[in-house]
Amino acid sequence: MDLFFILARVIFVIVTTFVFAVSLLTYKRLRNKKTLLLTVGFGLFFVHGLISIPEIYNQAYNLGFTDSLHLLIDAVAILFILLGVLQD
Amino acid sequence: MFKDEILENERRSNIYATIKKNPGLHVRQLQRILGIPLSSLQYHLNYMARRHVILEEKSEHYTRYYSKPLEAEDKKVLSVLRQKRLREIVMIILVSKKAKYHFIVQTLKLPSSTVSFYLKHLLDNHVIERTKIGYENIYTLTDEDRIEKVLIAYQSSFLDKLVDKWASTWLENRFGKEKPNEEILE
Repeated sequence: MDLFFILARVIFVIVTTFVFAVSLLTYKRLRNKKTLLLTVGFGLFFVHGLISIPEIYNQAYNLGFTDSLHLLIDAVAILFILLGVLQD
Repeated sequence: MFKDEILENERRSNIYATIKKNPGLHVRQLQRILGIPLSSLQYHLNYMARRHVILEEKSEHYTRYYSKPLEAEDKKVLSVLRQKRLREIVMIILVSKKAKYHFIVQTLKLPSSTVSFYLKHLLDNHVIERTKIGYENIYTLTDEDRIEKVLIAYQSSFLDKLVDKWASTWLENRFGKEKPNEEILE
């Protein structure tokens, strides 16, 4: 597997973990719909990154996700973030 | 007035943190560490001792100071006041004793829907109370002594600053429809 590809995935997971953790903590402290929607959005990015990590170590591990499905997951995550931003 | 009060609180907070870190210090030792004028230091120590934020133990030559651990109820208030904006609203009410909704909005210069959200959070957690006089809502602190004690004991952490930034980025935007009055709180 390409080194740059591995590095990009690891960095993606680290960054999404950090952003999701801060978002979750903010929701825990403020408990409102807006922060909940944002947390779900960033949480989806985090989970999406996390489930693709085993692929780096084990070539046999395959999620069976098509490119369209990956895009759909990201689109749903962005939709949650957008709903969070627009929420009063 | 508001800024002065915040500075005073920061000074008390520093004194409290020093006592917490070095229990049993006396006034002169505290003055050497903090570099605050003796009269000012003595005033703040008396203020905190009167409100049971610190304990003073008088011996023959010295009065030694110890920090008092927070009670369970204090910790509940502390978890709410970790948010910078919530602390600022509480400080505004603390300084003016009673604060009108519009005064808080004007002082913080934030969208009124955001202020309403923060006020609701404080009301839900019983940190502040609301009284309706005529058409106006007046906000007061539920337990002034407890809140003052918690504000002094509070030490901001890196994580708190991070969450503050995160919350203000998303909550204080003006993308959402602005509510011109207090409807959100009704």
